[in-house]
Amino acid sequence: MTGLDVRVEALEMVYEVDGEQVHALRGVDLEIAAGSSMALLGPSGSGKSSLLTLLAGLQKPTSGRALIGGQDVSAMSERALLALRAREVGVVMQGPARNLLPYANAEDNVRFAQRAVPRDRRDRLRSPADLLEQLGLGHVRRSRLGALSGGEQQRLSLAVGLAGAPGLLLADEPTSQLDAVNRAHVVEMLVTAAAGGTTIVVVTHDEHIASQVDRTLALRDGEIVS
Amino acid sequence: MPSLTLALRALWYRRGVSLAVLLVATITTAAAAAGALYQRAGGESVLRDALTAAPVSTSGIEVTSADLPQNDPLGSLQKQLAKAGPPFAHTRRVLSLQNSLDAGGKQGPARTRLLWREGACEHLRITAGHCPTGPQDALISTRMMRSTGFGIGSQITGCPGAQTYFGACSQPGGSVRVRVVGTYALPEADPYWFDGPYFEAHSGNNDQPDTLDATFLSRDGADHLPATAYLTAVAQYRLDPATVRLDDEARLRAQVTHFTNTLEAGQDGTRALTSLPTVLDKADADRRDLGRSVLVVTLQLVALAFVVLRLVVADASEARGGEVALAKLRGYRAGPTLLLGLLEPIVLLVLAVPLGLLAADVAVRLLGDAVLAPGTPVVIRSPSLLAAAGALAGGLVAAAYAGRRLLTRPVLEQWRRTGDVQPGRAGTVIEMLVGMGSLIGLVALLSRGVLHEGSHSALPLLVPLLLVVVVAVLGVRLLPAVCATLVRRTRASSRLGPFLAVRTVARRPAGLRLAALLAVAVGLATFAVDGSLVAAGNRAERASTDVGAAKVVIVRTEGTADLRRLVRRVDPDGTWAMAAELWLPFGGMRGTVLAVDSDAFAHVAHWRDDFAPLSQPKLAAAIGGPAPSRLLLTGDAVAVDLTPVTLPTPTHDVQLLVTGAHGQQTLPLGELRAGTHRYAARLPACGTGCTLDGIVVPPGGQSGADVKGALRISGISDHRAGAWHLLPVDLGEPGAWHQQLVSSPATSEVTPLPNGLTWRFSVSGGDVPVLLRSTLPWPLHVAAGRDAVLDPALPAVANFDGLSVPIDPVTAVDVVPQQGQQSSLVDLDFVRIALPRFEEFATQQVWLSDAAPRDAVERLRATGLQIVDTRTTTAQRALLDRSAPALGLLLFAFAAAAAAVLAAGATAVALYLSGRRRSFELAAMLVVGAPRRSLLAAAVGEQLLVLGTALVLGVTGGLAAALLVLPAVPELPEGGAPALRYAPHVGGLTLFLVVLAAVVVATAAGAALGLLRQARPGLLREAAP
Ligand SMILES: Nc1ncnc2c1ncn2[C@@H]1O[C@H](COP(=O)(O)OP(=O)(O)OP(=O)(O)O)[C@@H](O)[C@H]1O
Ligand SMILES: [Mg+2]
Repeated sequence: MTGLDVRVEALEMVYEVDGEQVHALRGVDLEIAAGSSMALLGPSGSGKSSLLTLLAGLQKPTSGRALIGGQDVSAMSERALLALRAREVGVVMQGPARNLLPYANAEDNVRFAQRAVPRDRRDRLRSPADLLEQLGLGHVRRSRLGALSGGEQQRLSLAVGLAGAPGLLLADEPTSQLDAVNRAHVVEMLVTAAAGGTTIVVVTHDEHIASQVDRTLALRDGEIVS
Repeated sequence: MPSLTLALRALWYRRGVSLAVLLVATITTAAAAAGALYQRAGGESVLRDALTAAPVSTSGIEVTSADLPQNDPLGSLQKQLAKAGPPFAHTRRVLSLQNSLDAGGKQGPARTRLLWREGACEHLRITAGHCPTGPQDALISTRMMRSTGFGIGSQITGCPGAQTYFGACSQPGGSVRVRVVGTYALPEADPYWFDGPYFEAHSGNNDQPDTLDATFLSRDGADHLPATAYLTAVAQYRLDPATVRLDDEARLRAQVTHFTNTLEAGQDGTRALTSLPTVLDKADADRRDLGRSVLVVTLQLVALAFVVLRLVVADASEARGGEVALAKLRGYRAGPTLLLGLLEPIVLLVLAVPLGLLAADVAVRLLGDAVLAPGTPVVIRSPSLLAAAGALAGGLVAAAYAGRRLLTRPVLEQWRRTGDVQPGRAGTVIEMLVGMGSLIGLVALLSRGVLHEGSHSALPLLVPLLLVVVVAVLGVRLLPAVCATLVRRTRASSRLGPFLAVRTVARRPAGLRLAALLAVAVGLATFAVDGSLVAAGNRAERASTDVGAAKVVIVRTEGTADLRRLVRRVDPDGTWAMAAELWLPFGGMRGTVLAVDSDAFAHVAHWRDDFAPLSQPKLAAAIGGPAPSRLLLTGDAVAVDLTPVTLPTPTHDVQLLVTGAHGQQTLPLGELRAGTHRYAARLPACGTGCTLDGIVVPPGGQSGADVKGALRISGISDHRAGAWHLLPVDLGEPGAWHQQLVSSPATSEVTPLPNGLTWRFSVSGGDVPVLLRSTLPWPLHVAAGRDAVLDPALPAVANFDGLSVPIDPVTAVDVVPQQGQQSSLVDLDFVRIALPRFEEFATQQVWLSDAAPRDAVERLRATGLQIVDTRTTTAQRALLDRSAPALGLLLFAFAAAAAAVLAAGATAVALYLSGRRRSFELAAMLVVGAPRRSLLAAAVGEQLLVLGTALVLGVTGGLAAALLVLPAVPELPEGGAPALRYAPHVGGLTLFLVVLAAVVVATAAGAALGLLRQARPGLLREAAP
């Protein structure tokens, strides 16, 4: 698999809340090479999630550009963005609830993610059972979501993000609720994915993850500080 | 592609919301389908009732043929009938041959109907002898036997067809002779007799002979009558109402028209008589009225249901916002994403079609069993199917609308707003348009005068919805403004709960649309509850007034039996049974006169306080009033002190009328002389005592001349123990004496004196002046109906025999039970005394109250009363309950109930869905240290504020609508008594309000508790956008 490179140019994000402006990002410039991994660090409210959702094309920046594999996601149509995400970009949102269908079991959740992938790329996908087995979730393959522990749900969220074998994985705090053992599992998953050529951007407060990725970047008040 | 199994699992996962959507969609479909179904079933019921209620002779056809060849009149008629074909599908035909026969009876000439009637003996009870078989055989009624003196073996000779001429038959050789071979008892009500006047014996009016019951002949006997008998051949076709369906109506009309036309175009003198088309026309008109009501009600319900459906479908697809966002996150294209968001609602909508049809079918069937005419068919037909399809289409449109939102909303927003539909600008505009439209509609309707009483229009039924919509939309708009001012107030106060509650309401108008909807539903329900109760009360009142008492038995006494005494034999105190006779005066008064046992009247007859200015017991006492005391004679002789003021010429005797052990006798007192004298006579055997009944002034010489005179009576004494004792009575008591009524012109004047009276009299035509001691309050006491007394200067009432009794209209009566307006009440005993032949044209009845024992009718029968027919208030009530106007209102009540269920469903869904988001807020408040109790108070307060406003607005609007609209909504068939009442049904409304308030409080508290339970601080981590 070939990863996608990411380039961010003078990205600004300003929210309007009750008539007041909130500067979430203040001119962020950034470049991530294809196939490399990067951790985004920073205190709460520093704009990490905002940056990630801009990269995923889930919202448009106030100004600046974000390019993925050379394509400007900030200027793309909704349709093209859907296609891009289906084909190339795996997203793991903050909190497991947003990443999973609440009434489907683990396997169905993986399958749901894979069905979005265009046919010509499906041959590269691994079967849901395999994928879950590899992530140590084989025993809860058929369990209802509600029967899964918080940690298992979080790991499943990451599994779903990776289910489509994306060229770019955007993961927002994938280890927030995990203990040390589970964190290690997740890090192993990320490392494996990176080894497969996937570009990885992970938002985290977790030093352990930070130490395992190629590069770390710190945000404060919407600006890159290191 | 999301699979169907996934969709089903999603349905189950959100079973609460799914169920609500299914419920609302089912009700919408059912509402649309039920209207058509109900209209059809109601129409069948109305038609069936119209045909059943019509007398058999009205719904049936009678063909009479008078000028037929007399050798075989029946054969000739049958040929014509065969040519015309049967008029109905299921024909019951009875043939007969008849003519009248004038014959001499015991009391002079009398007329009977000579009749051969197919199958008559199977419908008669033979009391002696046998059915006529031979050519000369005749069967007469036991009543005729008694009144004429004919018996088995008697020969009856007479002239047929009123061709009498000075006692002989005008046609030579035209006399008829038959021999009585049996007697029959008068039959009870039986449709077989086709309402024919066969058993209506009565005295002859003026110089007509008396009429006797019918005399039955055998077929042979009819054929053997001489040709001069001019028999009329009659064929009667009876319609069986149970066989006629709406579908048959057009064919039935065509068939009947063809039948009558064919017959009347054929032989001269053949006539086919029927009022069936009129009956059908009336049923059609009623059905059209019902159809209009059904349409108006159904349209309202469907419109309301559609609004709720739109809300619920939007809510349900909104609830899937998270999953739709997830699908977009994964990059699904529009089609699959839409499917994910809408598959669930669509599956539910489709599922609701059969369920709705089934529900409509079951509901209308249940309703049919409960109120419609027994055996009314309920069949789903194309209009219902079309309506259901329409509802599905509407639901799909709502789903499509919701789908558009799903597709266009940004992913992140979709997550953030899960579960809380904020009204868009379009929604607000629509809401305002609905409000304005309703207002305009309301004003237009009111200014066009749809609220006039007695209109046939169904438009008044539109007013409640429009009114409550206006009240709800405008009222709910005011709530945030009110809350905003309250915010300013509560901010200053130290209490957090109320502040939070009003602040939330002021800032979140989403719940307000729901509140408006709830207010509309509550308003309609209030109107329906009040309207139903008020109308039910009016129907009950009308049914009771129509029948007169809980049960009314039409009876016949044979001979001169005293009905009141017979009835008192089964109910000695007159507490549950009352004798009553209905009479139509022959002069002096307009309308019917109901003669009642006035002692039982207040116990048995139905009454409402506005029937008369007097209360029921007072009115009964007024007409019953005590009769003057009797003049009891206990000695061996009687004497009267008389002074002729004007001596009648020529000389006249004077006599006393005295009743002793052997009945009434006249005691001669000798010739009247000038001056005051005591006239004495020995008393006959008195047994327990004699009574002095009157004073007679018979002519001394030959009779025939007019008599004129005046007598003063100054004392009555009886002779006891060898001395005369003056009777201690006030002879001058007003009304205690009156001159006996005669049919020839007469005048009289009774003037009371300090210790006696003066009687001036003048009679003509050979009548004898008689001064009677009154045995009834004189003049006859009458509770007179409106305008009943024709000559208020000389109030009187006359019978067919020419007797005219002066009356005293002691009180007015506006409504007489059973008879309605234009009827008067009188005491039965007194009218019988005053007009001895009053009963000959009266209908005899026994009224029974609710307190009557179960076997009351059997007990009456055991006294020898013949039971002809029975009517009950319950049956009448059932009939009124399924009259077209009642059916329209009933549907409205059901629609309002459905609307309430819909609104409740929508509220439940909305509360459930907004719960999640609200619990985040509460969790946040908990984190910053707000006390749990304040938060609970705030949550309860907020729900109460919204739901309570809906309640208050709804009830206000509904009550206003009830007061405004009810008088214009047709409730009962027109033109009955008493006047309808529209005062709100306080008891029912209070109960309704209490239940409603309890539900609202429970809902508010439950929803608030649920919110707080969900609000854990941990929630916040998942929540942050
Ligand atoms: N949709 C939004 N509307 C308004 N303000 C927003 C929105 N999303 C984020 N913000 C604001 O933008 C700023 C950055 O938010 P963001 O979620 O990117 O921070 P974060 O670094 O991811 O924080 P955390 O570590 O708590 O997840 C914050 O001040 C936040 O309140
Ligand atoms: Mg974040």
